[in-house]
Amino acid sequence: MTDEFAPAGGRDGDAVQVDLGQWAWVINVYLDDLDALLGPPQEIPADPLDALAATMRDAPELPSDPVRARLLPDGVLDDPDAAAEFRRFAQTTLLERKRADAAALRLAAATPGTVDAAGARSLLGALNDLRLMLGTRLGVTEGGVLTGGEELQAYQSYGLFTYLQGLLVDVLAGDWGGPPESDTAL
Amino acid sequence: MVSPGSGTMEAVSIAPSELARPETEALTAPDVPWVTVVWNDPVNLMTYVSFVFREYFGYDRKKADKLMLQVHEEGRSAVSNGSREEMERDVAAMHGYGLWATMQQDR
Repeated sequence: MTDEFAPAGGRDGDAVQVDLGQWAWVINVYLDDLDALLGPPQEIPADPLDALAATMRDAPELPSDPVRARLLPDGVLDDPDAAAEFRRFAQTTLLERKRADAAALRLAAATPGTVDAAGARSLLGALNDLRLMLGTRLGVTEGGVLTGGEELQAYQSYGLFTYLQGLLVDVLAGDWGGPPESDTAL
Repeated sequence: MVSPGSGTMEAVSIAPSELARPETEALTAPDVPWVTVVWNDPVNLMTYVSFVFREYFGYDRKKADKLMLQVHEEGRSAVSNGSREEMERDVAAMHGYGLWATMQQDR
């Protein structure tokens, strides 16, 4: 059995071999949730004045949904005007990035293969977003979270995504420990 | 923050209202530098936070780990400083990595 992430070697130092096949089902379940939270891409009016009007129209606020709020947090505290200005400046790009990262993870989960450095960072971002989503939902604290029953799958999935993100960080940071030892005896 | 395979850790409050706040003033002085503050979050992996600091800010491992531990143990750390525009970029970048950061004037 191979690691889900491993250095790919070759000229691109940060290329990563990816094999998420056995986890594809659960990854897709929670990516569906994440996609719903991120919402569809915003349609930007072609006319630049219309586009400007669209961004100025509502004072952007911290989302009321706690998961969306964690994914799109305030950039300034104690100053609602500055926070709204920051949100106008940053939110669209942030959402686009998260959507792209989620799409990259969905693709990677469907097909084992190699991703380049940029692709690896996309997967890292998507895994982090899945953990932010589940962690916020489950009320994760520093002491961990104990839950069961209907939340058991969410809790176990959170643990899985924690393992996957940790492994990918180790691979990218050069701390990967090597392939798992073979179970077969010679 | 989480370390992989962590067992019990003390519960750390992540409520920013419990931490020291900068005074807000009516006028922002143009010469006072701005800082980017990264806040602790129980979801963020310690290894990931350190990786982000190395990757985005170019800090060496020692400095990145030091800042990461400060976030973890003290609840927050000022990770960069500069002009307001620079801090807007840094805060946006931190959000892009899934860390929670805010900008404020350094006093």
